Amino acid sequence: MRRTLALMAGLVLGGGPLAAQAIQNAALRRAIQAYDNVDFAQVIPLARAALRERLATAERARAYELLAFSFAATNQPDSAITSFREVLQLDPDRDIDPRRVSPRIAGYFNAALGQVMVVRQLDVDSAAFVAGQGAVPIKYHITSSARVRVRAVSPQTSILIDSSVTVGQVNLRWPARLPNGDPVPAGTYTIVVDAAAGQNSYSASQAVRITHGAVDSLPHLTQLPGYQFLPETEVPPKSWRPMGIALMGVGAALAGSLAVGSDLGKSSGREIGTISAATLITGFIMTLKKPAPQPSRGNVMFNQLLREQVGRRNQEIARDNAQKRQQVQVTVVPLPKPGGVR
Amino acid sequence: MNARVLTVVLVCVAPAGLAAQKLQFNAGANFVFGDYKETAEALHYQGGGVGFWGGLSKGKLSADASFAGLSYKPVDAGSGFEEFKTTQIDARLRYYIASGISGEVGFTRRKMDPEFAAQSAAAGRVGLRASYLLGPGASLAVRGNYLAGGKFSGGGEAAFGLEVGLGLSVGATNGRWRITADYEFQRFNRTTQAGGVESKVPLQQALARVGAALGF
Repeated sequence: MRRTLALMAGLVLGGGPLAAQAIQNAALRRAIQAYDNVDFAQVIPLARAALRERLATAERARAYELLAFSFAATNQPDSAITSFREVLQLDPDRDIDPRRVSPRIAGYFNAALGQVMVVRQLDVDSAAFVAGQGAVPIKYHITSSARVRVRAVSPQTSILIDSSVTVGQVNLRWPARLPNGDPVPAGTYTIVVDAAAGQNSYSASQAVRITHGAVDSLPHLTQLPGYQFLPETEVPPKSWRPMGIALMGVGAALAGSLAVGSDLGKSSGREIGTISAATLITGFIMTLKKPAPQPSRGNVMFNQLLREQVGRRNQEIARDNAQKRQQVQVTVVPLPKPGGVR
Repeated sequence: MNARVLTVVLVCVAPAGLAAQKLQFNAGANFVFGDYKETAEALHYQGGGVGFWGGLSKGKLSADASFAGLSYKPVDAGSGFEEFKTTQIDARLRYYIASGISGEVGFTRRKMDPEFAAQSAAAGRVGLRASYLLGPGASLAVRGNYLAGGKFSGGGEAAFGLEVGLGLSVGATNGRWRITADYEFQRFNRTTQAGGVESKVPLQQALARVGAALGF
């Protein structure tokens, strides 16, 4: 059983982020060697010896982790929990994969989590929004109930984002505005999460860079999407209408002349004959020709309506653009952590 | 008489008032040939000549004036009737109503030379003009006018006067140039009083104008 636990723990440790880092301390290297050989009796004194020396934070966390797994393997739960607490104090974001370690070790780790007060997994998402119309998502996990103050700190100012008594996962949205409503000035800020409960306190931070930019304005429209101007004239289908009109015109002129002028005898008819012939020939030719384009009343009205809509929309766009030119696009980018934990 | 003066003023002044605005101007020249009858079948003349016309239009309003000069000869050369010359001036002011129909007012004045070879005549006109598009660049107009207040050099009066017209225009669709043909038939039912006896002495003229026009 001890061997199984140790193998599982070794699997976890071997795959952890600390394993990848070069270990400088000789005692710690020997402790790791002993752990790899499942010699827990040697691991514990070697790790303790390493802890008495000057170690980097990551190495100290590694040493305590070796101790925690070794105590767990040797059925020393209190010591395992204590060691896990030290690990969490040094590296609060440290986690274990419950699928890869035994439930007993996971239980010790969770018990340690319940006994410390740390801010874990502080995360500031990148965001880009118009000032006053968006917010920066900030989330963190506080392991036990505490008064938590979240601030954005720069060399010039300190802005309180949130202050509450809370525990567990917390999600915040920071509008990145000053108390007077203006967007926070561009620059590098540190999002600081201070937790305090009685005599205990803890602080975690994440640096972010805030930049300002102009808000994109909208181009004016020449037509509405999905709508096109229609031709304002259309060619009617060929018909005998021109010939019909010519016949009616000639008939009217002829009838009018004959009706009132017959009492003075027969005229030569060359005047009416000439013009009538020309009219009828023209009517016949126009019947054969492609008809003249006619105004399309429906299309003209549609185009007029469309122009009014485009004009109205452009007025709205102009108003929006006037506002957008006064707005600020805020871009927030989290900066990589330098590796320092408290 | 007052109506004629008013018509002249309208025809002359209204286009001038519109000069400051965007106007369309048309002008043309034509050959004219005519048929003139008076009183009875025997008094029958035919002749020809030239004519000119010009017109302005702006929106629904348009006006035009025309001049024609003809030399008439008796159809029956052996009748002994005298040849004569005639000059005719017509003026019209139109207002577009709807569907190609316009209302028009104006006057006509025909003067004979020698003065008593035939009847000089003048009258106001009021009527309708219907214009239709036959095809690209081709249009047809039919008009009917009542000729009111007819005055004649030989006296008498005409309670009834009628003018019937048929116009044809074919040319460029933008109206820059056109071939024009126009038929005009005028009839006055003139009567005279001689010794208390009313005599019917009607007179009528048919004119055909064929020419070309430019538009600006």
